[in-house]
Amino acid sequence: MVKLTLEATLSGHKGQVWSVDWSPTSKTLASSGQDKSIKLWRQEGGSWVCVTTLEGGNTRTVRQVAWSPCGNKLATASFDSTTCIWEYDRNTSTWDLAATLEGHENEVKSVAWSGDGDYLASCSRDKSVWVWEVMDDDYECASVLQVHSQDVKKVVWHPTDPLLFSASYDDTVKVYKEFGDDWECAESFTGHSSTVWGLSFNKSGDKFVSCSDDRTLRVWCRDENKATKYTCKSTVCGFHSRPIYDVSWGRHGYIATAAGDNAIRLFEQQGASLLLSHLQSDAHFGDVNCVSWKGNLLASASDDETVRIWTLET
Amino acid sequence: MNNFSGALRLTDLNDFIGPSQECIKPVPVTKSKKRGVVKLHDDGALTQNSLPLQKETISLTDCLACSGCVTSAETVLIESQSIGTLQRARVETHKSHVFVATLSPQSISSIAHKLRMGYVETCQKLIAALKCDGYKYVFSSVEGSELCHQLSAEELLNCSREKNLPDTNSDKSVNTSVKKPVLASACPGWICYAEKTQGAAVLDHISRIRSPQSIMGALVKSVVSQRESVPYSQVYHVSVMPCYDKKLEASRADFVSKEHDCAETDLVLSTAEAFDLWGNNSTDMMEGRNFDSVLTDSPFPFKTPVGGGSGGFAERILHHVARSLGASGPLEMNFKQLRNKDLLEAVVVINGTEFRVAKAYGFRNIQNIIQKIKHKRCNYDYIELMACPAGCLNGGGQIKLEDSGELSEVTAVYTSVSTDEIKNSKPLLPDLFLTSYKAVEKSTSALNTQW
Repeated sequence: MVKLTLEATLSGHKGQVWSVDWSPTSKTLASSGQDKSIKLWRQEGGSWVCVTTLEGGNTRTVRQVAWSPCGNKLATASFDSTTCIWEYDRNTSTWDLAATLEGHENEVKSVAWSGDGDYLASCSRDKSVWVWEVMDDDYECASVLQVHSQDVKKVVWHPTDPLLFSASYDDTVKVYKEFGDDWECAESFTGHSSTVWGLSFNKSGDKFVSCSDDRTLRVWCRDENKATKYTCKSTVCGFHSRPIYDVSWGRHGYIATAAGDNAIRLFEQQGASLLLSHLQSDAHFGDVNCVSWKGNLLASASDDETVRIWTLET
Repeated sequence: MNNFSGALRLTDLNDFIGPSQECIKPVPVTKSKKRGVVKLHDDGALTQNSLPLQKETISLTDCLACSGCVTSAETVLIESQSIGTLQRARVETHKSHVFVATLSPQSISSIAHKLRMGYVETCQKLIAALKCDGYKYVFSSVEGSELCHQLSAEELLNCSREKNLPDTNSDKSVNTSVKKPVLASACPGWICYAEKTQGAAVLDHISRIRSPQSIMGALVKSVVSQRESVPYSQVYHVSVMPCYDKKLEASRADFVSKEHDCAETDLVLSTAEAFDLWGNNSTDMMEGRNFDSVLTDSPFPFKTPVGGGSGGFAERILHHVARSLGASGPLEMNFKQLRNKDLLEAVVVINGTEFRVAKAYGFRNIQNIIQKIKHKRCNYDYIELMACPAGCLNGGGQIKLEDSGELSEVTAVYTSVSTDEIKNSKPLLPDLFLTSYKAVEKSTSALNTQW
């Protein structure tokens, strides 16, 4: 029997909470939202508390927060059209605003570090995807990719290969690879009939699942002969009655979805398709915007101004 | 229509415009003093005092001055700068107007490559075709480039004074308020992007010297109207450019003659459009065809400036700086590639003074330069900045190439006639060749927010 047990409800953000992300190196959770702040949460003495609030970086909603692979940096995508980089200073034990990346025309929707930490990707309502090269404390624009015809909602790196994926309001997912000293779009994946809000890879990266405003999930499998080519092997419909805003594929194999019906659902793979293993109705009192796994812990962010932490029990 | 440069497309936010939303730009309406009743007729026509009411239209100039949307500018652009408009103008005004054309060397190289012909031969073919088509004068925009380079060198020298350079005998009238690093002003995609997204912090660095196209614009109509004894407004000037964004440049208010209330360059055709019109004409009577010159009575040579297919700004400006400072002999400039093939720098020492120049092409390099300028970490004297990756020979208006390797063949055509000795007489009124830039205020509306 698969189920989720509520560990904690984290209050503190004012307004919608848009994003949660677990530190890759510690059990610290970062959250961000409408109140322009980033909050870091940790378990202390048995209860979850906010240990740091980072403010004064972005001047509008922080749509997404992302940890660097080393766990010492945070990147934030904001509606103020910038991406801020926060760095942890071991000497002073403080987080400092290290850089503000400008260039996007308007709202930055998503930001992601590559697995090796050498690149940062960002995307925006201006329809472009940017690749930034990380050089010590400097961030240089390595490419501006204008392939989507609409708002780009999410950028995600492949877990092992230098491939960048983006999901858009134009209903497609696109993949980019390095080309000479630039980047280029290698494939475009169509199938969803509305906005693709997000995508998440399994551990090895030979599959990813995409979630959409069309209330479906799609499972894509890698072509054996072409590393950038993925084919949709199944469409998971009938489970969600509202848009699916986020999807997270845990290392243990369970796929969590965040949806507009206040629910969190867990799926497991069965052949090429997915099987619903658990429905957490009323997981929040509003839209669930984001879900993120760390081992058996699942964090969720919602319009109800809270973050919740759940434990997976199987 | 995706022919515009990436920089321009990024500012084109068509998600602002829902299908039911229309342009809200207010237009000035000339009202008749007389009071009157507006009548709506059965056929939908409106009349005032029995006269049809004038329908107000949005011009490209209106669009450029508005940040509401750039999308509709494209539609207006297609209207006002198309082959169709040119052909209509030819039919309607060929008796009253003198038609003249300016050809860019990038366009000639692209057409030459397409026709598998040499540069000179292609010039002669195009000149023959244009003259046959009724064009009285055909100029080379290299003549404008050369003036641009000379004036830019003076501008650069005058803002290099902190280097304690000796006073030169150069005409100091080109003393603009531009700040270092000076950024090239020839790329309209870059200018439009800078004006729409960057404030004074960046605009203050853009060279105030007009682009080669608009320098030609400043000269052509007055010269031709004198030579042909026709009014200024009856000269029709067509420019052939490697770049769609040049159509926007020609429509800028700065490049409309206030005195004559008429555009200096009436219409810009992209290379591909020009090829459609004149590329396939028979090649009779090519011999003896030469470029006319705006500044002299002798033919203008079939040459391109040294320094690469984007117009050789960095090389040629430094060449003129060296001449002004009294250096003799050829100027050795060795550009070395930095982070990518579209970012190059060179350091030259002229009579003991060091000059650092760069070439930066493509939007990503523009971004990195902008950030460095904003953080005051950009220590170049001059940057040849262009919005298209690989520069102007790769402009959005060029004839489409089968594969990227062909670009080097187009480049080879261009450089086959490159020279660092193009003679030009000095312009008498440098002020005529200056321009300015204005930040376009952003219109933001909470209603437009999308998650």
